[in-house]
Amino acid sequence: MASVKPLSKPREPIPPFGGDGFSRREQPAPAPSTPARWGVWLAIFAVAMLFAGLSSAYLVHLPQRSRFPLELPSILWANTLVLILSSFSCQWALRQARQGRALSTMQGLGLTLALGVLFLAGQVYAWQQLRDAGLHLQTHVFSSFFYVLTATHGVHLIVGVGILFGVWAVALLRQGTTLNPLAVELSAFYWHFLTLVWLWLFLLLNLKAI
Amino acid sequence: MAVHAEHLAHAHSESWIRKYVFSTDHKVIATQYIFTAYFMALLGGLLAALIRYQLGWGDQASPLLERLFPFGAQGGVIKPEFYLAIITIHGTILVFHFQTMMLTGGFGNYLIPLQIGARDMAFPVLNMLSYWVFLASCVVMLLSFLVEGGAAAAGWTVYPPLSVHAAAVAGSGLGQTIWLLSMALLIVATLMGGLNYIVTTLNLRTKGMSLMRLPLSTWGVFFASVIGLVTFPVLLAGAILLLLDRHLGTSFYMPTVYIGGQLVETRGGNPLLWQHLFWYLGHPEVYILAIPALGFIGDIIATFSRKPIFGYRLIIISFVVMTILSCIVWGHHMFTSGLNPYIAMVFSLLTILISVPFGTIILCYAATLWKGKIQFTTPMLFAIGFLSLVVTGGLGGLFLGTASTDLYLHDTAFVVGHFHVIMASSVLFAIFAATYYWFPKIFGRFMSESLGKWHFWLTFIGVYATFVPMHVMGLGGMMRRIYSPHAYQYLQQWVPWERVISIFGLILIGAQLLFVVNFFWSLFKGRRATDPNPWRANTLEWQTSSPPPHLNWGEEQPVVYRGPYEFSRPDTAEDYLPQNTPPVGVEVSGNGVR
Repeated sequence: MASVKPLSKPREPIPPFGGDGFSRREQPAPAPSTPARWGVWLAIFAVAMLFAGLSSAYLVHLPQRSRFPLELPSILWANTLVLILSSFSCQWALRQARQGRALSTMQGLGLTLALGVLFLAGQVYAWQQLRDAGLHLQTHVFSSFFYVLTATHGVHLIVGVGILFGVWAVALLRQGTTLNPLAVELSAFYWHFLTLVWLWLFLLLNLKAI
Repeated sequence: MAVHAEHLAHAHSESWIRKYVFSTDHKVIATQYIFTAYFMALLGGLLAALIRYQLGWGDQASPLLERLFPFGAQGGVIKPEFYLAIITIHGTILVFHFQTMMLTGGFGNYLIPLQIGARDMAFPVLNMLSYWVFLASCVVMLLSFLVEGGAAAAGWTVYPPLSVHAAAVAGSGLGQTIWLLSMALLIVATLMGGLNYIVTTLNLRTKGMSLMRLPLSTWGVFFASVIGLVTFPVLLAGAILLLLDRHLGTSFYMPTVYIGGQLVETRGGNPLLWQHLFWYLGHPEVYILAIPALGFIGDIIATFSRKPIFGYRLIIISFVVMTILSCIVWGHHMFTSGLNPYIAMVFSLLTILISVPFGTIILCYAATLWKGKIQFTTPMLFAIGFLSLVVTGGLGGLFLGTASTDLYLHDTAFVVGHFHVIMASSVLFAIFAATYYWFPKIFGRFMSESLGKWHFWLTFIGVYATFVPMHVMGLGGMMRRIYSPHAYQYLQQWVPWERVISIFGLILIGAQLLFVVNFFWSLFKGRRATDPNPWRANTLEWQTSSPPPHLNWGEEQPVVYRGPYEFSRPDTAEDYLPQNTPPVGVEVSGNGVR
């Protein structure tokens, strides 16, 4: 391919993020989806910073952990497993969506949704167990942290369930004829993020001291 | 806003409400931001007048005050708890609702799509939502004056336990809760806006607009948005915990303390945690303001020096370094809180280190001025005033950034003087410079130059005469946030100083009336900006009509061939060369592309 003559300067600037439109090779126009992708990534980053703030608050209290007994309900392990499985099913649905298989995508998303709701139910059960053990929000700072961290994660997961349900419902209304892989991709990304956040929070809650 | 109705009307037809109230056009949203933020600035300025009155003549009763504030100033003297509410809301609304929102939501919103050659923001609806959430935040914050106990009174930093325990001060009742809710709304608005600015800058640049051809204004708002995205959610986390402490009986921040002779029992809280979470936003907030301010000033200085900006790449590298460093220096606000001395030393070093990129940028701007054909227009005067204030304020910062001297100066009037020079006034100057500079573009009319110059000189002298003496008082032991210097024997020596400062402060506040008059007079009666590029600038926003049409450009988006600061090129007849002027010898086809 013949190289294009330089315009105003002898050296063209290196094109970052999609180029300056004058690069030597003809580049495809940036996909219209790019802003959506950036937007979701940045939103997820902001949520990550919210959890970072809460985690750092937890970590500075951690040296006093031994003074405030808190046995975690064992159902949390089962919940963790459920959420990890949901991430796998979500990823499977994304692969189906990318290959244009609308029906199996919907099955995968449906399974993910079911697992997500199961996780939420499990979290509520864990709360009940703690409450029955006499550990309330006000009891001490670590019981407070347990409720705040799980509730903040739960609220974000409810949003995630809503988003996945929206994608799933739209696909259902269109009877699986068209499916936007980008919508599946972005909601799957958010879902994986929430799984990672839960793993991190679960690790924090299991730390006995630092 | 009705002024430019006829200019937009031909471009798109929608109902008046959709076009001017619930608009998704970034220019309309930016104008809404500008009006709202200036309104908050006026209120903040009035609160400042009350503060100055109280510090100067707080021992004398005034019938006027009693009539204005029957509850806050019974007997004509401002009550202590009302005074604390005033300083809290003064600080909060001027830092967050005025300066932050004016720079990013107002001018950032207006300029980014125009300067990068885009038709609108990446997410126009999100942009609109961001404004409405911000407006809700303003309304909620102002309503707090009307609730029982009055507005929040724990200072703009709302340290626990003062801000947690309702019995601590009258404003820590419902007022404090409303403060937290308003801040939560503001954080959400900032995040929605910031996300939009970042994505728009990265994705919607027109053909030829590489990152290294972006004007400094756009870069400034971009980095401010990055800092906001990193730090504002952390304050949100802190605010959630504070709300729970206040209302659901948790004790994240509350230690076991005696308040008013009553033992308040808690379960393992740590009040220093709030200080960490707050200052993790609170300090970067300074750079959320400083970096866009520096960006606007860069554009203005290059244009009115008729010279390419000196060290464009160096300035952007400095922005990056400031963005990173700003997030790891918050501890210098906590030197007296019992911080480990070794950690204090690290924070000290990092704080002093951040003056390197800051100083680099100031030197680059000074070098841009050097041997330029300087035009002393009002925006240029404010830009030069900005440089002066930043240097003065930076020198005070050296004493506060060093842990050993800060131990003495902490919580004195020195701190108040310092941040009013380096942050409040310098950013205010940048906002004024930007207003005078872009007013013809936004509203299609010029602001009055003669009024503008009076405004500049009175403000410039007023700022120095008000805030520099505070440094001296602080060295002499005058505490900040104190209700009245008249009540303490050891502060008697500062009473005359406070009066003189108050006189200059009130002159400074009064001088802003000139700006208000100029603003509204020019909006309706100002000289028309028939030339779309009256300052003969190079950046893209000046290459479309004033005010720009709906969707900013005509049929075709502009194509960019060069950097934003090609002034006084020896090979061109004019002393400027707009970014979208094709180079000589390049044929331009119908759609503007070679």
